[in-house]
Amino acid sequence: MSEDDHLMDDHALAAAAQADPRQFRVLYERYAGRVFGYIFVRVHDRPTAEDLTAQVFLKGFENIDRYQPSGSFAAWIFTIASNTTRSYYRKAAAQFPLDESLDAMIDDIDLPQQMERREELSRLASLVAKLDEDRRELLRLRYASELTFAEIGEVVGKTEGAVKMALHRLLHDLQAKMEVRA
Amino acid sequence: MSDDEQRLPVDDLLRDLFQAESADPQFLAQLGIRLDQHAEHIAAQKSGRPMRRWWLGMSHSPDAVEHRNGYAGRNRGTFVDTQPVKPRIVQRILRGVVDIAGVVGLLTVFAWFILIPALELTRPAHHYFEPVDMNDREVVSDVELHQPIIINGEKVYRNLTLEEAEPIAAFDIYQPEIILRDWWFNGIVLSQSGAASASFYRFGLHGQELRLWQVALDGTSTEDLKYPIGPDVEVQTVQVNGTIGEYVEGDRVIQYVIMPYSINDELGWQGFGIVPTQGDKPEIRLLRWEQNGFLFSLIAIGLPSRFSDEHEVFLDKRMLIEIARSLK
Repeated sequence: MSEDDHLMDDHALAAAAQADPRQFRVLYERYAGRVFGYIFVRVHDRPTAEDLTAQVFLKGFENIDRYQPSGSFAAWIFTIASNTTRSYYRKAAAQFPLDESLDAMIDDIDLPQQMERREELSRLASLVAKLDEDRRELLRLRYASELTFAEIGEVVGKTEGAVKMALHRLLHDLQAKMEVRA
Repeated sequence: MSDDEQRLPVDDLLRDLFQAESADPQFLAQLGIRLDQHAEHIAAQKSGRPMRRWWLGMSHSPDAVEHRNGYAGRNRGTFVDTQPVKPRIVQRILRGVVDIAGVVGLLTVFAWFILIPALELTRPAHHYFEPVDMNDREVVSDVELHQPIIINGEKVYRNLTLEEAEPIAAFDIYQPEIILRDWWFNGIVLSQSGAASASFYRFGLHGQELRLWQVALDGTSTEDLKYPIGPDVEVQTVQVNGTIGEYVEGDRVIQYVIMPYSINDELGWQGFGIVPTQGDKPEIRLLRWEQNGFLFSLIAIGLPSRFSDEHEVFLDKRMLIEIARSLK
Protein backbone atom coordinates (compact mmCIF):
# COMPACT_ATOMS: atom_id res chain seq x y z
CA MET A 1 0.00 0.00 0.00
CA SER A 2 1.44 3.39 -0.97
CA GLU A 3 1.55 6.32 1.41
CA ASP A 4 -1.30 8.01 -0.45
CA ASP A 5 -3.35 4.83 -0.29
CA HIS A 6 -2.58 4.61 3.38
CA LEU A 7 -3.71 8.18 3.95
CA MET A 8 -6.91 7.64 2.01
CA ASP A 9 -7.48 4.51 3.97
CA ASP A 10 -7.01 6.43 7.21
CA HIS A 11 -9.44 9.09 6.06
CA ALA A 12 -12.01 6.48 5.15
CA LEU A 13 -11.58 4.74 8.48
CA ALA A 14 -11.84 8.00 10.38
CA ALA A 15 -14.99 8.89 8.46
CA ALA A 16 -16.40 5.47 9.29
CA ALA A 17 -15.51 5.98 12.97
CA GLN A 18 -17.24 9.34 12.94
CA ALA A 19 -20.39 7.61 11.73
CA ASP A 20 -20.03 4.52 13.88
CA PRO A 21 -17.74 4.70 16.93
CA ARG A 22 -17.15 0.95 16.77
CA GLN A 23 -15.06 1.48 13.64
CA PHE A 24 -12.49 3.37 15.68
CA ARG A 25 -11.07 0.01 16.70
CA VAL A 26 -9.36 -0.40 13.32
CA LEU A 27 -7.53 2.88 13.66
CA TYR A 28 -6.58 1.95 17.17
CA GLU A 29 -5.05 -1.34 16.07
CA ARG A 30 -3.14 0.45 13.37
CA TYR A 31 -1.55 3.08 15.61
CA ALA A 32 -1.59 1.76 19.17
CA GLY A 33 1.85 0.19 19.03
CA ARG A 34 3.49 3.25 17.52
CA VAL A 35 1.81 5.60 19.97
CA PHE A 36 2.97 3.44 22.84
CA GLY A 37 6.52 3.45 21.47
CA TYR A 38 6.52 7.20 21.07
CA ILE A 39 5.31 7.71 24.63
CA PHE A 40 7.62 5.11 26.07
CA VAL A 41 10.75 6.85 24.82
CA ARG A 42 9.59 9.95 26.60
CA VAL A 43 8.64 8.43 29.96
CA HIS A 44 10.60 5.18 29.97
CA ASP A 45 8.15 3.64 32.37
CA ARG A 46 5.91 0.93 31.03
CA PRO A 47 2.88 1.40 33.35
CA THR A 48 2.99 5.15 32.78
CA ALA A 49 3.34 4.69 29.04
CA GLU A 50 0.37 2.33 29.02
CA ASP A 51 -1.66 4.74 31.09
CA LEU A 52 -0.88 7.64 28.74
CA THR A 53 -1.50 5.46 25.67
CA ALA A 54 -4.94 4.62 27.00
CA GLN A 55 -5.61 8.32 27.57
CA VAL A 56 -4.50 9.18 24.04
CA PHE A 57 -6.87 6.73 22.39
CA LEU A 58 -9.70 7.62 24.70
CA LYS A 59 -9.26 11.28 23.75
CA GLY A 60 -9.03 10.30 20.11
CA PHE A 61 -12.18 8.24 20.42
CA GLU A 62 -14.11 11.01 22.14
CA ASN A 63 -12.93 13.68 19.72
CA ILE A 64 -13.04 11.76 16.47
CA ASP A 65 -15.80 14.09 15.26
CA ARG A 66 -13.28 16.92 15.33
CA TYR A 67 -10.85 15.16 13.05
CA GLN A 68 -10.60 16.92 9.71
CA PRO A 69 -9.64 14.84 6.67
CA SER A 70 -7.50 17.73 5.44
CA GLY A 71 -4.74 16.37 7.64
CA SER A 72 -3.45 12.88 8.24
CA PHE A 73 -4.92 10.78 11.00
CA ALA A 74 -1.42 9.75 12.09
CA ALA A 75 -0.44 13.38 12.65
CA TRP A 76 -3.70 13.97 14.48
CA ILE A 77 -3.31 11.07 16.90
CA PHE A 78 0.36 11.83 17.52
CA THR A 79 -0.48 15.44 18.22
CA ILE A 80 -2.80 14.17 20.92
CA ALA A 81 -0.03 11.89 22.16
CA SER A 82 2.46 14.75 22.24
CA ASN A 83 0.07 17.02 24.12
CA THR A 84 -0.95 14.29 26.54
CA THR A 85 2.64 13.48 27.39
CA ARG A 86 3.51 17.13 27.77
CA SER A 87 0.52 17.58 30.03
CA TYR A 88 1.63 14.61 32.08
CA TYR A 89 4.99 16.20 32.68
CA ARG A 90 3.44 19.52 33.47
CA LYS A 91 1.16 17.98 36.06
CA ALA A 92 3.96 15.94 37.51
CA ALA A 93 6.05 19.13 37.62
CA ALA A 94 9.05 17.08 36.68
CA GLN A 95 11.05 16.92 33.52
CA PHE A 96 12.07 13.36 33.01
CA PRO A 97 15.81 13.22 32.37
CA LEU A 98 15.95 11.92 28.85
CA ASP A 99 19.57 10.87 28.96
CA GLU A 100 18.80 8.51 31.82
CA SER A 101 15.82 7.12 30.00
CA LEU A 102 17.81 6.46 26.87
CA ASP A 103 20.67 4.91 28.78
CA ALA A 104 18.21 2.72 30.57
CA MET A 105 16.67 1.77 27.25
CA ILE A 106 19.99 0.64 25.96
CA ASP A 107 20.16 -1.85 28.79
CA ASP A 108 16.84 -3.22 27.67
CA ILE A 109 17.71 -3.50 24.01
CA ASP A 110 17.71 -7.01 22.78
CA LEU A 111 20.71 -6.54 20.58
CA PRO A 112 23.22 -8.97 19.29
CA GLN A 113 25.59 -8.99 22.15
CA GLN A 114 28.08 -6.74 20.52
CA MET A 115 29.87 -4.46 22.86
CA GLU A 116 30.77 -2.05 20.09
CA ARG A 117 27.13 -1.57 19.17
CA ARG A 118 26.17 -0.94 22.75
CA GLU A 119 28.90 1.65 23.08
CA GLU A 120 27.74 3.39 19.92
CA LEU A 121 24.21 3.53 21.19
CA SER A 122 25.37 4.84 24.52
CA ARG A 123 27.34 7.61 22.83
CA LEU A 124 24.38 8.46 20.63
CA ALA A 125 22.05 8.54 23.62
CA SER A 126 24.40 10.96 25.29
CA LEU A 127 24.40 13.22 22.23
CA VAL A 128 20.63 13.09 21.89
CA ALA A 129 20.23 13.96 25.55
CA LYS A 130 22.11 17.19 24.93
CA LEU A 131 19.76 18.29 22.17
CA ASP A 132 17.02 20.77 22.85
CA GLU A 133 13.47 19.48 23.29
CA ASP A 134 12.34 20.50 19.80
CA ARG A 135 15.04 18.44 18.14
CA ARG A 136 14.48 15.47 20.41
CA GLU A 137 10.80 15.65 19.50
CA LEU A 138 11.71 15.54 15.82
CA LEU A 139 13.72 12.38 16.43
CA ARG A 140 10.98 10.76 18.44
CA LEU A 141 8.36 11.49 15.83
CA ARG A 142 10.61 10.22 13.10
CA TYR A 143 12.09 7.11 14.69
CA ALA A 144 9.69 6.08 17.43
CA SER A 145 6.49 7.11 15.68
CA GLU A 146 7.69 6.48 12.14
CA LEU A 147 5.83 9.47 10.80
CA THR A 148 6.51 10.96 7.40
CA PHE A 149 8.03 14.42 7.15
CA ALA A 150 4.67 15.85 6.22
CA GLU A 151 3.03 14.23 9.23
CA ILE A 152 5.78 15.44 11.53
CA GLY A 153 5.23 18.90 10.12
CA GLU A 154 1.56 18.71 11.06
CA VAL A 155 2.41 17.71 14.60
CA VAL A 156 5.04 20.34 15.25
CA GLY A 157 3.46 23.06 13.14
CA LYS A 158 6.09 23.32 10.43
CA THR A 159 6.15 22.71 6.72
CA GLU A 160 7.26 19.40 5.32
CA GLY A 161 10.31 21.06 3.81
CA ALA A 162 11.32 22.67 7.07
CA VAL A 163 11.06 19.36 8.89
CA LYS A 164 13.04 17.60 6.19
CA MET A 165 15.78 20.20 6.35
CA ALA A 166 15.90 20.21 10.12
CA LEU A 167 16.21 16.45 10.33
CA HIS A 168 18.77 16.41 7.56
CA ARG A 169 20.99 18.82 9.45
CA LEU A 170 20.38 17.10 12.73
CA LEU A 171 21.32 13.67 11.44
CA HIS A 172 24.45 14.94 9.73
CA ASP A 173 25.40 16.78 12.88
CA LEU A 174 24.91 13.68 15.00
CA GLN A 175 26.80 11.58 12.47
CA ALA A 176 29.71 13.98 12.51
CA LYS A 177 29.87 14.00 16.28
CA MET A 178 29.67 10.25 16.43
CA GLU A 179 32.59 9.99 14.05
CA VAL A 180 34.65 12.52 15.97
CA ARG A 181 34.07 10.80 19.27
CA ALA A 182 34.82 7.44 17.77
CA MET B 1 16.57 14.76 2.41
CA SER B 2 13.71 12.58 1.41
CA ASP B 3 12.03 9.61 2.97
CA ASP B 4 13.98 7.31 0.77
CA GLU B 5 17.26 9.20 0.95
CA GLN B 6 20.35 7.13 1.52
CA ARG B 7 20.61 6.45 5.18
CA LEU B 8 23.46 7.53 7.38
CA PRO B 9 24.87 5.05 9.90
CA VAL B 10 23.42 7.17 12.65
CA ASP B 11 20.00 6.64 11.11
CA ASP B 12 20.02 2.94 11.95
CA LEU B 13 21.38 3.65 15.39
CA LEU B 14 18.56 6.10 16.06
CA ARG B 15 16.05 3.54 14.89
CA ASP B 16 17.44 1.01 17.34
CA LEU B 17 17.57 3.59 20.08
CA PHE B 18 13.99 4.76 19.71
CA GLN B 19 12.32 1.47 18.92
CA ALA B 20 13.74 -0.56 21.74
CA GLU B 21 10.43 -1.17 23.47
CA SER B 22 7.23 -2.48 22.04
CA ALA B 23 3.80 -2.50 23.61
CA ASP B 24 2.62 -5.51 25.55
CA PRO B 25 0.14 -7.36 23.28
CA GLN B 26 -2.03 -8.17 26.28
CA PHE B 27 -2.24 -4.49 27.18
CA LEU B 28 -3.15 -3.56 23.61
CA ALA B 29 -5.82 -6.23 23.49
CA GLN B 30 -7.35 -5.17 26.77
CA LEU B 31 -7.35 -1.52 25.78
CA GLY B 32 -8.98 -2.49 22.51
CA ILE B 33 -11.72 -4.32 24.38
CA ARG B 34 -12.19 -1.29 26.55
CA LEU B 35 -12.61 0.96 23.53
CA ASP B 36 -15.07 -1.52 22.06
CA GLN B 37 -17.15 -1.37 25.21
CA HIS B 38 -17.03 2.40 25.11
CA ALA B 39 -18.03 2.37 21.45
CA GLU B 40 -20.94 0.08 22.19
CA HIS B 41 -22.03 2.46 24.87
CA ILE B 42 -21.95 5.41 22.48
CA ALA B 43 -23.66 3.43 19.73
CA ALA B 44 -26.41 2.41 22.13
CA GLN B 45 -26.81 6.02 23.15
CA LYS B 46 -27.16 7.10 19.53
CA SER B 47 -29.66 4.37 18.73
CA GLY B 48 -31.70 5.03 21.85
CA ARG B 49 -31.23 1.54 23.20
CA PRO B 50 -31.18 1.01 26.98
CA MET B 51 -27.72 1.53 28.38
CA ARG B 52 -25.88 2.36 31.47
CA ARG B 53 -26.17 6.00 32.25
CA TRP B 54 -24.03 8.43 34.08
CA TRP B 55 -25.30 11.15 36.28
CA LEU B 56 -24.69 14.72 37.36
CA GLY B 57 -21.12 15.69 37.89
CA MET B 58 -19.77 13.08 35.51
CA SER B 59 -19.05 14.56 32.15
CA HIS B 60 -17.90 11.25 30.73
CA SER B 61 -19.02 7.71 30.86
CA PRO B 62 -17.81 5.46 33.66
CA ASP B 63 -15.42 3.92 31.19
CA ALA B 64 -13.95 7.27 30.35
CA VAL B 65 -13.60 8.21 33.97
CA GLU B 66 -11.91 4.95 34.72
CA HIS B 67 -9.45 5.49 31.91
CA ARG B 68 -8.84 9.06 32.91
CA ASN B 69 -8.10 8.03 36.44
CA GLY B 70 -5.32 5.89 35.22
CA TYR B 71 -5.04 2.75 33.28
CA ALA B 72 -4.33 -0.20 35.51
CA GLY B 73 -6.05 -2.80 33.46
CA ARG B 74 -3.25 -5.25 33.47
CA ASN B 75 -3.54 -5.68 37.19
CA ARG B 76 -7.30 -5.68 37.25
CA GLY B 77 -7.77 -8.85 35.30
CA THR B 78 -10.88 -8.95 33.20
CA PHE B 79 -12.62 -5.78 32.15
CA VAL B 80 -16.05 -7.30 32.37
CA ASP B 81 -18.25 -5.10 34.50
CA THR B 82 -19.46 -7.37 37.27
CA GLN B 83 -21.26 -4.73 39.32
CA PRO B 84 -25.03 -4.74 39.11
CA VAL B 85 -26.33 -1.70 37.28
CA LYS B 86 -28.94 -0.61 39.80
CA PRO B 87 -26.64 0.07 42.75
CA ARG B 88 -24.34 2.10 40.55
CA ILE B 89 -27.24 4.22 39.36
CA VAL B 90 -28.28 4.80 42.96
CA GLN B 91 -24.72 5.73 43.80
CA ARG B 92 -24.68 8.26 41.00
CA ILE B 93 -28.00 9.72 42.04
CA LEU B 94 -26.69 10.07 45.57
CA ARG B 95 -23.50 11.59 44.26
CA GLY B 96 -25.53 14.08 42.24
CA VAL B 97 -27.58 14.98 45.30
CA VAL B 98 -24.40 15.42 47.32
CA ASP B 99 -22.94 17.59 44.55
CA ILE B 100 -26.02 19.82 44.47
CA ALA B 101 -26.13 20.05 48.25
CA GLY B 102 -22.49 21.02 48.27
CA VAL B 103 -23.01 23.77 45.75
CA VAL B 104 -26.05 25.10 47.61
CA GLY B 105 -24.09 25.01 50.85
CA LEU B 106 -21.21 26.93 49.36
CA LEU B 107 -23.54 29.53 47.89
CA THR B 108 -25.29 29.89 51.24
CA VAL B 109 -22.03 30.34 53.08
CA PHE B 110 -20.92 32.86 50.47
CA ALA B 111 -24.17 34.82 50.69
CA TRP B 112 -24.41 34.69 54.48
CA PHE B 113 -20.85 35.49 55.40
CA ILE B 114 -19.63 37.58 52.46
CA LEU B 115 -22.33 38.93 50.18
CA ILE B 116 -24.92 40.07 52.71
CA PRO B 117 -22.37 41.64 55.10
CA ALA B 118 -20.73 43.36 52.14
CA LEU B 119 -24.04 44.82 51.04
CA GLU B 120 -24.75 45.92 54.58
CA LEU B 121 -21.42 47.65 54.89
CA THR B 122 -21.72 49.43 51.58
CA ARG B 123 -25.18 50.69 52.31
CA PRO B 124 -24.97 54.32 53.38
CA ALA B 125 -28.24 54.22 55.31
CA HIS B 126 -26.84 51.47 57.48
CA HIS B 127 -25.07 54.02 59.61
CA TYR B 128 -28.24 55.88 60.46
CA PHE B 129 -30.24 52.99 61.88
CA GLU B 130 -30.14 51.36 65.25
CA PRO B 131 -32.05 48.36 66.60
CA VAL B 132 -35.05 49.28 68.66
CA ASP B 133 -37.23 47.38 71.11
CA MET B 134 -40.45 49.30 71.47
CA ASN B 135 -41.18 47.64 74.80
CA ASP B 136 -38.23 49.50 76.25
CA ARG B 137 -38.97 52.84 74.66
CA GLU B 138 -40.55 55.54 76.72
CA VAL B 139 -42.68 58.22 75.27
CA VAL B 140 -40.96 61.54 74.95
CA SER B 141 -43.54 64.26 75.00
CA ASP B 142 -44.01 67.57 76.70
CA VAL B 143 -47.70 66.86 77.14
CA GLU B 144 -49.12 64.18 79.39
CA LEU B 145 -52.07 62.84 77.48
CA HIS B 146 -52.63 59.32 78.68
CA GLN B 147 -56.35 59.71 79.16
CA PRO B 148 -58.43 58.95 76.10
CA ILE B 149 -60.44 61.63 74.42
CA ILE B 150 -63.71 61.03 72.65
CA ILE B 151 -63.94 62.23 69.10
CA ASN B 152 -67.26 61.74 67.38
CA GLY B 153 -68.01 58.95 69.84
CA GLU B 154 -64.71 57.32 69.13
CA LYS B 155 -62.25 56.78 72.00
CA VAL B 156 -58.79 57.96 71.06
CA TYR B 157 -55.64 57.41 73.13
CA ARG B 158 -52.55 59.46 72.62
CA ASN B 159 -48.90 59.18 73.58
CA LEU B 160 -49.12 55.56 74.68
CA THR B 161 -46.19 53.26 75.06
CA LEU B 162 -46.38 49.94 73.31
CA GLU B 163 -46.90 48.26 76.67
CA GLU B 164 -49.88 50.54 77.29
CA ALA B 165 -51.30 50.25 73.80
CA GLU B 166 -51.19 46.49 73.32
CA PRO B 167 -53.86 45.59 75.94
CA ILE B 168 -56.18 48.22 74.53
CA ALA B 169 -55.77 47.50 70.86
CA ALA B 170 -58.03 44.96 69.28
CA PHE B 171 -55.17 43.75 67.08
CA ASP B 172 -51.46 43.07 67.25
CA ILE B 173 -49.52 46.28 66.88
CA TYR B 174 -46.58 45.93 64.56
CA GLN B 175 -43.35 47.50 65.65
CA PRO B 176 -40.20 48.36 63.75
CA GLU B 177 -37.01 46.60 64.67
CA ILE B 178 -34.87 49.48 63.51
CA ILE B 179 -35.29 53.20 63.71
CA LEU B 180 -33.07 56.13 62.99
CA ARG B 181 -30.43 56.61 65.59
CA ASP B 182 -31.25 59.12 68.32
CA TRP B 183 -34.81 59.63 67.16
CA TRP B 184 -37.24 59.93 69.99
CA PHE B 185 -40.44 57.96 70.40
CA ASN B 186 -43.40 60.30 70.51
CA GLY B 187 -45.97 57.71 71.47
CA ILE B 188 -48.71 55.69 69.91
CA VAL B 189 -52.03 57.15 68.98
CA LEU B 190 -54.67 54.48 69.23
CA SER B 191 -58.22 54.92 68.19
CA GLN B 192 -61.01 52.67 69.35
CA SER B 193 -62.00 52.04 65.79
CA GLY B 194 -58.89 50.09 65.26
CA ALA B 195 -56.36 52.46 63.84
CA ALA B 196 -52.94 52.61 65.45
CA SER B 197 -50.21 55.09 64.85
CA ALA B 198 -46.68 55.17 66.14
CA SER B 199 -44.79 58.31 65.43
CA PHE B 200 -41.12 58.94 65.78
CA TYR B 201 -39.36 62.22 65.53
CA ARG B 202 -36.09 63.78 66.41
CA PHE B 203 -36.01 67.14 68.02
CA GLY B 204 -33.91 69.57 66.16
CA LEU B 205 -33.86 72.82 64.36
CA HIS B 206 -34.84 71.12 61.14
CA GLY B 207 -36.63 68.11 62.57
CA GLN B 208 -38.15 65.38 60.52
CA GLU B 209 -40.96 63.19 61.63
CA LEU B 210 -41.81 59.65 60.83
CA ARG B 211 -45.33 58.32 61.26
CA LEU B 212 -46.30 54.72 61.01
CA TRP B 213 -49.97 54.10 60.46
CA GLN B 214 -51.30 50.62 60.87
CA VAL B 215 -54.99 50.34 60.06
CA ALA B 216 -56.95 47.12 60.47
CA LEU B 217 -58.97 46.77 57.31
CA ASP B 218 -61.88 44.80 58.76
CA GLY B 219 -63.81 45.11 55.54
CA THR B 220 -63.34 48.84 55.44
CA SER B 221 -62.72 50.31 52.08
CA THR B 222 -59.02 50.89 51.70
CA GLU B 223 -59.58 54.10 49.84
CA ASP B 224 -61.37 55.62 52.81
CA LEU B 225 -58.36 55.00 55.05
CA LYS B 226 -55.64 56.33 52.83
CA TYR B 227 -54.19 59.73 53.11
CA PRO B 228 -55.47 61.73 50.21
CA ILE B 229 -52.80 62.12 47.58
CA GLY B 230 -52.67 65.38 45.76
CA PRO B 231 -53.53 65.72 42.11
CA ASP B 232 -50.91 65.16 39.42
CA VAL B 233 -48.69 63.17 41.76
CA GLU B 234 -46.66 60.37 40.25
CA VAL B 235 -47.29 57.15 42.16
CA GLN B 236 -44.36 54.72 42.08
CA THR B 237 -44.92 51.02 42.45
CA VAL B 238 -42.59 49.35 44.95
CA GLN B 239 -42.25 45.88 46.36
CA VAL B 240 -42.61 45.82 50.12
CA ASN B 241 -42.51 42.63 52.17
CA GLY B 242 -43.60 40.51 49.25
CA THR B 243 -46.50 42.77 48.30
CA ILE B 244 -46.88 45.62 45.86
CA GLY B 245 -47.02 49.00 47.48
CA GLU B 246 -47.09 52.65 46.50
CA TYR B 247 -44.56 55.37 47.04
CA VAL B 248 -45.02 59.07 46.46
CA GLU B 249 -42.85 62.03 47.28
CA GLY B 250 -43.06 65.75 46.82
CA ASP B 251 -44.16 68.92 48.47
CA ARG B 252 -47.90 68.41 48.05
CA VAL B 253 -48.21 64.68 47.58
CA ILE B 254 -50.67 64.38 50.45
CA GLN B 255 -53.11 67.12 51.10
CA TYR B 256 -53.13 66.93 54.88
CA VAL B 257 -52.01 64.86 57.84
CA ILE B 258 -54.68 63.77 60.27
CA MET B 259 -54.01 64.23 63.96
CA PRO B 260 -56.38 64.15 66.93
CA TYR B 261 -56.54 67.34 68.87
CA SER B 262 -58.22 68.71 71.99
CA ILE B 263 -58.08 72.38 72.47
CA ASN B 264 -60.24 74.20 74.99
CA ASP B 265 -62.48 71.20 75.33
CA GLU B 266 -62.86 71.06 71.60
CA LEU B 267 -62.06 67.64 70.27
CA GLY B 268 -61.57 66.55 66.71
CA TRP B 269 -59.44 65.18 63.94
CA GLN B 270 -57.37 67.92 62.49
CA GLY B 271 -56.06 68.04 59.01
CA PHE B 272 -52.69 69.75 58.99
CA GLY B 273 -52.00 71.39 55.72
CA ILE B 274 -48.68 70.72 54.06
CA VAL B 275 -46.62 73.83 53.52
CA PRO B 276 -44.75 73.84 50.24
CA THR B 277 -41.00 74.17 50.67
CA GLN B 278 -38.19 75.22 48.45
CA GLY B 279 -35.28 72.93 47.68
CA ASP B 280 -34.34 69.76 45.91
CA LYS B 281 -35.65 67.38 48.57
CA PRO B 282 -39.32 66.45 48.83
CA GLU B 283 -41.08 67.56 51.97
CA ILE B 284 -43.27 64.47 52.15
CA ARG B 285 -42.36 60.84 51.47
CA LEU B 286 -45.15 58.33 51.74
CA LEU B 287 -44.86 54.56 51.45
CA ARG B 288 -47.96 52.43 51.87
CA TRP B 289 -48.90 48.85 51.32
CA GLU B 290 -51.33 46.20 52.50
CA GLN B 291 -50.07 43.27 54.49
CA ASN B 292 -51.75 40.60 56.65
CA GLY B 293 -55.07 42.40 56.77
CA PHE B 294 -53.66 45.82 57.55
CA LEU B 295 -52.99 48.96 55.60
CA PHE B 296 -49.59 50.30 56.55
CA SER B 297 -48.47 53.84 55.81
CA LEU B 298 -45.00 55.15 56.55
CA ILE B 299 -44.87 58.88 56.23
CA ALA B 300 -41.73 60.93 56.51
CA ILE B 301 -42.30 64.61 56.95
CA GLY B 302 -39.80 67.40 57.03
CA LEU B 303 -36.43 68.47 55.78
CA PRO B 304 -33.12 66.73 56.41
CA SER B 305 -31.85 66.90 59.93
CA ARG B 306 -28.25 67.27 60.99
CA PHE B 307 -26.46 65.36 63.65
CA SER B 308 -23.78 67.00 65.71
CA ASP B 309 -21.17 65.82 63.25
CA GLU B 310 -23.02 67.73 60.54
CA HIS B 311 -23.78 64.61 58.53
CA GLU B 312 -27.00 65.11 56.73
CA VAL B 313 -29.71 62.56 57.39
CA PHE B 314 -32.59 62.41 54.98
CA LEU B 315 -35.25 59.80 55.57
CA ASP B 316 -35.67 58.75 51.96
CA LYS B 317 -37.49 56.06 50.03
CA ARG B 318 -34.84 53.42 50.56
CA MET B 319 -34.74 54.02 54.30
CA LEU B 320 -38.52 53.87 54.50
CA ILE B 321 -38.47 50.52 52.74
CA GLU B 322 -35.85 49.27 55.20
CA ILE B 323 -37.98 50.28 58.14
CA ALA B 324 -40.99 48.68 56.49
CA ARG B 325 -39.06 45.44 56.09
CA SER B 326 -38.21 45.46 59.78
CA LEU B 327 -41.82 45.60 60.89
CA LYS B 328 -42.73 42.61 63.01
